[in-house]
Amino acid sequence: MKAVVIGCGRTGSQVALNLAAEGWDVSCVDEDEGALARLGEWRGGFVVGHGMDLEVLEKAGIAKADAAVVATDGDNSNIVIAQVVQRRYEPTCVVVRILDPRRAAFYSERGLRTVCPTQTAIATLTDVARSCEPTPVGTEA
Amino acid sequence: MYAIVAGGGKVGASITRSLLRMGHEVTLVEQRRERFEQLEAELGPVALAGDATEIHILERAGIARPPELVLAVTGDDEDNIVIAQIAQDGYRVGKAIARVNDPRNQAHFDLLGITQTVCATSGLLGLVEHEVPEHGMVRLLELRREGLEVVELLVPPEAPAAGKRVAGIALPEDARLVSVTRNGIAELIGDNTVIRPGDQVVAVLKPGVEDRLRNALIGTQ
Repeated sequence: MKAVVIGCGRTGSQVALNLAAEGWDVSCVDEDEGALARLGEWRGGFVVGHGMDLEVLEKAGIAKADAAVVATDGDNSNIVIAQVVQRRYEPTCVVVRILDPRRAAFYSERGLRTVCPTQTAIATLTDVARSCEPTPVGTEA
Repeated sequence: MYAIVAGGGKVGASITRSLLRMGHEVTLVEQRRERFEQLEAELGPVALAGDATEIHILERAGIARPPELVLAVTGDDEDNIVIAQIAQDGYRVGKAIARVNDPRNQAHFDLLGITQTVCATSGLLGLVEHEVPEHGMVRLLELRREGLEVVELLVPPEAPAAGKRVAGIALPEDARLVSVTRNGIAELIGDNTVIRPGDQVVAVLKPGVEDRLRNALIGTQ
């Protein structure tokens, strides 16, 4: 199985490492060559360039990828890259990180597989806060 | 008419002023604080501070009315695509027009359904080509939605079409010759018009038949 990870920051690099450890053939794309350092002893592909640049994506092997993971630090870049990859190269799976919950919902309603860490944080923080309800008076053991 | 202009740089601010002068209602959304303050000083409540790719900012700008026109003219192509998509697909805005900053991104706009785009760089390039024609053909106008192009060709002395009547030239099916300019005077072309060396011929065609039209008219170079 082949994956292309676009955006090799804290999130993307770890996704790349996870998939590679499971035997995937992984290529990463990042504008910053320094991002390679996040991958340690990396044996997969690494292409320096912008995810909007089709030449860069193709060099990373997008045309033969089963999965594309889009996780640059820009929501709008991610939205555009994910749609372009989905429509142009049709990999089995395109998954995209969108920090803004409203935009994540908008694009997931329109067929993108979106992951919204902010929404996850909101849900978790709310749940934890709820579980901190004070014990009603008189019921202490 | 109600219009939302996203991006208050030189382009967005100028368009806003023009629309206001024409008597239209406009909201201009600008993200950069300093720039917003300048715009607010000039335009008052027409200016709105915020990131126009955030749906709640677009809602504050009145996207749900919806406006007849949304202009996505920020300096960032990704932002312009997202604004135009939200306007078109989310709120059925009458018309969304997006600015293409980097012509290399034009294909992304097309692929993602943003049919109304304006690219200043491509426009300038067209003017440059007009002055310095490459391969004898200049693209004058591209009607993307209609799937048509208007081009101009300069007929060299050794061209296969030189000296022929238009009816006798084997043109590709998806191309029509419209006018010929000779000694600075333009005339509409009829079947009996004879093409002469030095003529500037304007043609309308469907994208993809440029090379065949060029070969039929001025030959391979």
